[in-house]
Amino acid sequence: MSRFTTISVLVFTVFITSCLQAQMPPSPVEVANTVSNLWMKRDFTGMSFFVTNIYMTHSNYVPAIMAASFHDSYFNGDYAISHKKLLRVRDGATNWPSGYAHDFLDVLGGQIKRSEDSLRFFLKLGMSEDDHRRRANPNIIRNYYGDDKLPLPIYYLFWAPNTNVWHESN
Amino acid sequence: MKRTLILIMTLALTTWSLRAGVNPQITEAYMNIVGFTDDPDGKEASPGDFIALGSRKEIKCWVNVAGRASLSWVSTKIEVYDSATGGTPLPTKTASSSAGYKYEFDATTTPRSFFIKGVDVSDGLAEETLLFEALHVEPYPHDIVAFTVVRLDSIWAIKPDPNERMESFPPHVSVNCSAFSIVNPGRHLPVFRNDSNHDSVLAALMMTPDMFDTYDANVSVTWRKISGPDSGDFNETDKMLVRYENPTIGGIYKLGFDFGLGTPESQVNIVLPLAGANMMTWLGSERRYIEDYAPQHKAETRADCIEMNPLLAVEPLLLELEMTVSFANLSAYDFDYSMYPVNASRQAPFQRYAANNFYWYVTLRDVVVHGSKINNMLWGLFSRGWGWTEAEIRAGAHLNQLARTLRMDGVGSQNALGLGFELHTRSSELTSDILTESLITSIQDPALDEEIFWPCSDPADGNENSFVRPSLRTTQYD
Repeated sequence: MSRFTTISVLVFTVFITSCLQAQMPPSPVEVANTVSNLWMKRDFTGMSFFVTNIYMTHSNYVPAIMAASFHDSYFNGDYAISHKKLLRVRDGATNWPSGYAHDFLDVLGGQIKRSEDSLRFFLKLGMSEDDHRRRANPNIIRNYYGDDKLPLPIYYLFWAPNTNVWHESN
Repeated sequence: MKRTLILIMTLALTTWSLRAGVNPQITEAYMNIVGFTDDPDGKEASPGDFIALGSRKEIKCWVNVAGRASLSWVSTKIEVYDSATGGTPLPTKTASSSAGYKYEFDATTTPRSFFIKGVDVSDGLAEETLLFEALHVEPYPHDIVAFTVVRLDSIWAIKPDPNERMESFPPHVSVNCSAFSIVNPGRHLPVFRNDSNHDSVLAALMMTPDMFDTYDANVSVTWRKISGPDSGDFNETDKMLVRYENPTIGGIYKLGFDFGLGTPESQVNIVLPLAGANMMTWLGSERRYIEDYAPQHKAETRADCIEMNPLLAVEPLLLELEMTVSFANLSAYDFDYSMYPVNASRQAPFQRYAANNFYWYVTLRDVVVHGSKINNMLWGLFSRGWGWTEAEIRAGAHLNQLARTLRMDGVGSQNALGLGFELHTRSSELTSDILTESLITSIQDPALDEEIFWPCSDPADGNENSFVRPSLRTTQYD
């Protein structure tokens, strides 16, 4: 009986720990470090797996949304979807401004504006969203960036708050 | 009867002769220094008068009964002339003796002028004496005058403790002082704005200091302001030692000193170094230019990037990268205004104390700031006009500074960026309404020297001032 009790407690502990771990997303810095390392190593498969996974498991977590937004545009050419994710973060911040650092909101606003300008500009050039999606190739972009620069959205991941945007529904 | 007549005539002649011998007409000799009051105490003989080294003083000699007379002196520190200028000394050296000089002439009741020239500085007060004697009658009536030959050695302008500085000025000449030489602006005493007080002591020094008080008491010296801002004043103007007190307006103060002996005026320059002219009006118009220029430059950059690399026309992310890199590189290194705001009186900026002269110190409102901070302000405005956010610009400035100096961007620079952001955000408001004195003060930099300069209230004016805008390329590959 005693042995059964001990095993039960252990199993329960492992279960609870697993549950807690499953609920605890990596910190913003961990997310930023992982994304930047994968980018620098040109591990695009690993990047897609990491971002997709974290966004699926923590879809309200701001660093996960930001990473997914980056992935949408840089890997898939889905600028509109990427843009919507940024807007979602901004709307959440609008409802709960105290949860966000001023500097983060500032750069987020800049990213959103540049994204809108870019979409408008390329629309004027006659490029549709489908064109962008068809052309999407992270390898080309990575080569163009070289080894001494990171895309701005990765820099801004380091500034992301350790919070969820669940307040957006309030 | 005849004998009686002869006796009477003899008596009369004797009486007349006796009277003539006992009571002759009294002959007197006079010698006066022209312009010098000979009071009953005989001041002419002691302490006498002063002659500036190299200049001449007139004396007049006469007797009340015409006849031979002489002028004698022993001193080798004076020469006697019979003309106010030029001529040769009297008597010529060949007529002199080791005992001194003696010049004989026919004196009349009309004064005759001689001119005494100081040729060497006296060793003591009233040491150079002249004797005028009437020779045609004994016991030689005479008069004596004395001189002291003095030289104004130098004039000192002194900034007293606790920031003691001093500068000497040569006597009897005007000394040029120009704001526009960083190496050699000319002699001047600087009075910095952050000095604990702004008074200057001015001292006219003679070669023989022990005569100082006597000279001061007997000769009318005069100080005056020749030119300079309408500020401050002398505590006294008729002493050898005076103060110029409490000037509160920057500029070059040219002060004159008259030694009182007919010599040319001496000059002292006191400089309250001015920063460059007031740039508020310029900044107001430049702000509007930048507001138009920034989006235009961004559009040109985008177009030129695409022209340079057609791939960018189909790759938004690459175009964004190229534009970001272009902006960062070009604006960080090339966004440099050249500002040299000279005021109408050509006294600002006083360059001597502006060691870092790529940018001059300039004035905004009544605050002195370094030109680099105005550059930062305009770069902040330009960057906002390009679409960058405040945090991005601040971070960019830090990165730029780190790359250049391995230090973070200073507080003053970051505050200057902040003012640029204010100008961007409050676009409809007047620049002069936004940039309050306290905000402008916030862009001063402890590592710089704004505090020593005096603000210039005049705007830039004249041909010498210049403002050159940054010449920004649109791609790195131009």
